Amino acid sequence: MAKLTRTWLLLVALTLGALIAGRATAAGSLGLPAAAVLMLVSALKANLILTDFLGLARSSPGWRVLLRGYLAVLALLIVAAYAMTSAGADG
Amino acid sequence: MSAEQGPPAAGPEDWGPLSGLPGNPMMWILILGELAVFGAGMVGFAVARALDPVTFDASQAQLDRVLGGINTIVLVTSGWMAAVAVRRRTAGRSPRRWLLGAMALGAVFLGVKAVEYGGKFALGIGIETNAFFQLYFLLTGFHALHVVMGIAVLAVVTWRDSLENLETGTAFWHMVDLIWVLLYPLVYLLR
Repeated sequence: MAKLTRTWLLLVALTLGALIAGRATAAGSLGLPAAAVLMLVSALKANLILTDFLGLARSSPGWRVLLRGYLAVLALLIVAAYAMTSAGADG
Repeated sequence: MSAEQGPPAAGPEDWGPLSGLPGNPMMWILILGELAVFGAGMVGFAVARALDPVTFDASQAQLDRVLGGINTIVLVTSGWMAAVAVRRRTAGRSPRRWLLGAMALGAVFLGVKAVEYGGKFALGIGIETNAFFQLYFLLTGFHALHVVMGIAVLAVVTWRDSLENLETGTAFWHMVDLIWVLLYPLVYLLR
């Protein structure tokens, strides 16, 4: 139970961190590095939910690789689309 | 005649690789399908933004980013309560109050979402305003519909609270939680 509570506190802390990194109360572009960190942290949060809340830690290694790989690919595709926008805006 | 002497019942081992996941494999077929659908929707949103960043960034500025962040905390807290409920059931303790708490926070999430949508409608913003709001309402609305379904699923497993039922119901809830954790930064924060 303590492990679940630690995971929950970490998720709340990372969400508050995302609000700060994402400059929730300010305008203007985040820039590629901040956007990439934001999506990476979000994928890590999703992995914490999968591993600790959903109990993927107790499933087979194949499922862990598949679902974590899916999260990584999704975050990378989103960041890649963001990078294309940044490149277009710069050029 | 004891139950052991009868024909073997169809068990989770019949589901191949899916039997390695917590809860009923049927729920996992649904979860994997939902992850694929939402994943495609999120990539679609990111690409649409890449094609028209000016409209997307100007429209996103009209969202309440802090309200979206509060809803993220509400949902991960609800997910934590659902996970604790399963752990309590495993230990032979009642999961009921924790499940009710998880459902109540799901209702809070929907309440915040209703306030958010109401604010947009009051400004004359709707699904046909532009491509950003079309995708915003589709993705967040489809997700909110899953929150409604998730609350219903949690209600059923609160009533019939075997360990397998709880693992199955909360697996769906965690999927809803997980999708929001990815949807929130994409729709509300990236600009």
